[in-house]
Amino acid sequence: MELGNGRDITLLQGPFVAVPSVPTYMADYASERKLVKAAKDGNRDAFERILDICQDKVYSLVRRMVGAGDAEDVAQEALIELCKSITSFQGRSSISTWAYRIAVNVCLEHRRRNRPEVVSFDEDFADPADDPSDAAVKTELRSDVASAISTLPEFQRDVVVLHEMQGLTYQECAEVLGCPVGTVKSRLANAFVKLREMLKEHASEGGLVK
Amino acid sequence: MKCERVRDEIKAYIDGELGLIARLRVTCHLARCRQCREVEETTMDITRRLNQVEQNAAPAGLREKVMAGVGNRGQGTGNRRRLRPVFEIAGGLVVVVLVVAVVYPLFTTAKQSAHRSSELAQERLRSLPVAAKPATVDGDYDARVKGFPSPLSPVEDKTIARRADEGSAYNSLPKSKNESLGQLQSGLQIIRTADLTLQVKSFQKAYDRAVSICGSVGGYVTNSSAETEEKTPTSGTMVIRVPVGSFDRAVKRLSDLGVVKSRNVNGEDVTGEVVDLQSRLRNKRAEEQQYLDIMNRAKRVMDVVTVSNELYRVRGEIEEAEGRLKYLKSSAAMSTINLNMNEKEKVKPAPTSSIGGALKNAGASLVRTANGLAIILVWLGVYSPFWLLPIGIVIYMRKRTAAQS
Repeated sequence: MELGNGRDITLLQGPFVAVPSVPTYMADYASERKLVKAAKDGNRDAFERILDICQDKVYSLVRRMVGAGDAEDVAQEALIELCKSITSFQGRSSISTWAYRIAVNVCLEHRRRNRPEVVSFDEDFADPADDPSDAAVKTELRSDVASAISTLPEFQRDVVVLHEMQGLTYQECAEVLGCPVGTVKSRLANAFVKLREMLKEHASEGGLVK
Repeated sequence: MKCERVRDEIKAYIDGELGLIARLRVTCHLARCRQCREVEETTMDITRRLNQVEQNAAPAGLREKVMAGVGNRGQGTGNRRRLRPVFEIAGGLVVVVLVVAVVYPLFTTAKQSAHRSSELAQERLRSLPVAAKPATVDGDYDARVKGFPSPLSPVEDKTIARRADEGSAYNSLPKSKNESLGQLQSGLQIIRTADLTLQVKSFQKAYDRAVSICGSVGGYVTNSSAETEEKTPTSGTMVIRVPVGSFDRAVKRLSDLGVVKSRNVNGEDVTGEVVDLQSRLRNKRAEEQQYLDIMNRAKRVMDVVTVSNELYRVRGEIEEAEGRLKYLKSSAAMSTINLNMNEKEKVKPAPTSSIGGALKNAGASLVRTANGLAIILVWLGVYSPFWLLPIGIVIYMRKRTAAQS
């Protein structure tokens, strides 16, 4: 079963459950190192290639952490910081994980400087290609998921965004957030407990699994 | 495994983040618990829904803005990075200055307190009896002094006469070692003198008490003088002689009459001179006895005259030695205390509080407060580079950031 977002899931028989495979952006790790080395040496094409890899991911993450209003400015700041930090990148993680780490730090700094903004996930769950016959139901359910995620505490929502929407593993989430893997695990578990409670009524109708 | 714990681990179970044993436990529990299976399905639904979310494409022009920003902000960021060590150094210097300003006065005060405590301890020690006193000068000394053979002891005379009869004038010293050692042990002669200056509340009362103390220890006052001011004596001196065994006790009791301003105790060891005098006396007496024998055998007038002259000379030397010996022993037996006493100056009573006094006190307090504020301003001014510089830099950076935004 494919869960999308570049992750392939192998569903085992019986009670065993899915084990995610390695994310696809990790597949070119060797070529990434060459790209980083070239960018450090001053190769402009390598520099732009790195920017191409990172800008969509950084923008998505920033938009889901600080909201649509400030997303562009904060993403710009994060990408500028990323460009300036390229010389100090050690290459111990993938470029994407490193970019996420910088973006998360910039978003947290933005939250500290500004009033907290309610982040909306409605657009993330909007799907205009749905069958009109049950579009209303699906829209309502997706908006409930969006509103449920919006009401999560920031530290739980960040982990949900990074793991579920951005596709990072637990270890990568821990590196980006600068916390232990156990913390990521507990935050995700608690976030899903809250999500289940909020969506209990609609999830029991059970008509959403494709 | 309990349902509550399983539900806490459902998400990690679905994501494949549980260890083997934990995964098997959850699997076994799910196999027999319908409610937990429902929770698992719900969690998988939500996970699936969240995973279906697409990445948001970056808005057009973001890349160009980033490239432009990298070019413009490089300098600013560089400045901010270059100035960071300055902030850190300035902050460190401020902390060091504050610590020194707080700790140093405490350290100085502690040192002064220790010095003052040391002075008080020394003053207290001085008021105690002198420790370096001869071991034999104690309560038994009086008995030994009394039991010491007098210069004209018949025991000695008999011994000297026996030696002289044997014709060995120069062997007239006692042959008994114990006897000589006993004489030495009991003959330790220390002439002790104390000079004591006290500040007393009432000279007359202190004088009377001093006389009383003197009498109680078996001493006597040899000399006294007093100065009078406003019809009553306020200062004076006394020369007191007390037995050497009671010397320390007397000095201590006299010191308690007032505040000790100065105290000086001396001890002159004249034992050597006493022993020497005693030895000379023995020799001279033996010589005298020999001359007397010669006188008895002398036939001619010339011989008698010559021997008489020698006898006269020897007797003079004997008398002189005996006088000196008597003086030394008397001085050692009775110590001398020179006591000076001065009355404390009476402090005039402070005037009762009044409006004028309150105004005066308030004015003095205001002056002190103003002085204190002026001192604080002076300190701030002197140390202005340490706190003005970081504040100025922060204000400048904020203005610059506001201008850019």
